[in-house]
Amino acid sequence: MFIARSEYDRGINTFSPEGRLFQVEYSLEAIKLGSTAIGIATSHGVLLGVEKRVTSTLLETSSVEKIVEIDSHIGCAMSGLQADARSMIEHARVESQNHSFHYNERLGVESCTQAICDLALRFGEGADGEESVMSRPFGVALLIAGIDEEGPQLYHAEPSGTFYRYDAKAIGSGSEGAQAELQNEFHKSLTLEEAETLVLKTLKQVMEEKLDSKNVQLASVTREKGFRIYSDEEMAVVVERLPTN
Amino acid sequence: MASLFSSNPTLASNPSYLFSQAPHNLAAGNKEHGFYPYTDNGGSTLGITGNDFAIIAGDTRSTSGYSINTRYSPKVFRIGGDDETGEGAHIILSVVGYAADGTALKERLNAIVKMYKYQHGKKMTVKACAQRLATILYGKRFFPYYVTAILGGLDEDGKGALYSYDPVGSYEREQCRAAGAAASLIMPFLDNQVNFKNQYLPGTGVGHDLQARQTEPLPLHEVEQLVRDAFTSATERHIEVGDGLQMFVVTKGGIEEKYFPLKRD
Repeated sequence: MFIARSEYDRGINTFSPEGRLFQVEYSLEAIKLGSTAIGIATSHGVLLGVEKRVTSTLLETSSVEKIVEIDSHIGCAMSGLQADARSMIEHARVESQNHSFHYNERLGVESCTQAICDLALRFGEGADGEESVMSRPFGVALLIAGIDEEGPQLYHAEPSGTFYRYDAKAIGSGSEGAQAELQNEFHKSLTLEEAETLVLKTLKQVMEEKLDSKNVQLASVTREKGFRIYSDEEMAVVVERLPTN
Repeated sequence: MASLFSSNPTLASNPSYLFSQAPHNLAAGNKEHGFYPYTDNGGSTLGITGNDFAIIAGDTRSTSGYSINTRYSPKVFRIGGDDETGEGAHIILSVVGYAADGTALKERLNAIVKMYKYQHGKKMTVKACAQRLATILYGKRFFPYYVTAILGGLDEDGKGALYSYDPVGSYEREQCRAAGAAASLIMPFLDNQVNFKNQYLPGTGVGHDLQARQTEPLPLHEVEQLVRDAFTSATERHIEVGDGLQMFVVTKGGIEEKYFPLKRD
């Protein structure tokens, strides 16, 4: 089996006889190695939360950037190969700026997600043998949070180029446990403050390290303030609020 | 528009146009060649908005100098419709100046508005379309579409919206605007009849104490009559205006097209 399979591992755009693209499937595995990221969409706004893996006491935790701004109304959390996310986010930022330049309005959250996913399958060589930008699929999944005329929205974008909208979604190494927890705890009338607690509570359950205000990060997208990463002081307040057990 | 072509020796000396000039010999024995890619096809357009409607109208004559190319060449178009008839459109565009550039601009904006709907899953707002048209025009800053455009529709609040442009994309939202050959004839009429310029309330004082008449939103039937009067008068005084008046009225019910004959002399 292994020998038969490896034949189809090489050609990055080659289907296996069973109709699978192995490199794309492996890229999904790469995400499962990444740190956990969680997103929750409430009617007041969307909340993103990530765990930062602090591998050394000498590591400056503020340099671990797993939540980034795409535009003033769209933000994104990532899990997987950080470096791959950079080109996706750069693309999304350009797309968003281009949209407001051309149309004098903000880019929709779904359109932004679509723009990112359009990049996903541009690996391998093209049909005419032209050089491609990427040699392999992205090794990162994104949670894209934003607000537009449709209201607060959360999208999950995969390296396969597919995306889905979620009320609450977890990605990364702890995603299975976290998703089950979200499944139980999510309801439509969650407030943003309840979502803060739920994200941290869920992260706490799946994290190997002990959760504190330094090894997790939160960000929100609201109608009033747009995208915003929580400051150290705000993080301390939310962590303080967590039930101790 | 005629003054824009004053640097063109062919047009200045001969009212009918040529794209190229026969090479003529200069004193020093050098030959001079010329290529003039623009033509003025005359005609006029006009847009007025009210509380819950926008009207854009244009005459249907197309001219080259003293010649009439055709008596029916529309200058006003539906943008973003589902088919060639423009059914389902919610934005209107008028173009006056060089007809070929006008057609090209209309086709391009139409395609962009349709693509927008596919890409973003919603209708483009007039505000967004206005900005997009400006970037299209400025994109050809150094070989412009030789047209004066007016864009109309209803804004997000359902109010009439009208945007007027210069050939390189400078634009502004306005209550009313006349463009094209008879713009200088029609615009002062609109200033007076739409924005009540130079109208004062009798008996309210002397000199500077006289109170100006306050503007009020005009009803649709009154605006329609203003448009028709503007064009009958422009037809009388300008040789490049006439033949027919085409009018597009945007309300929340959709776009209605009207046609009235004008003098054909």
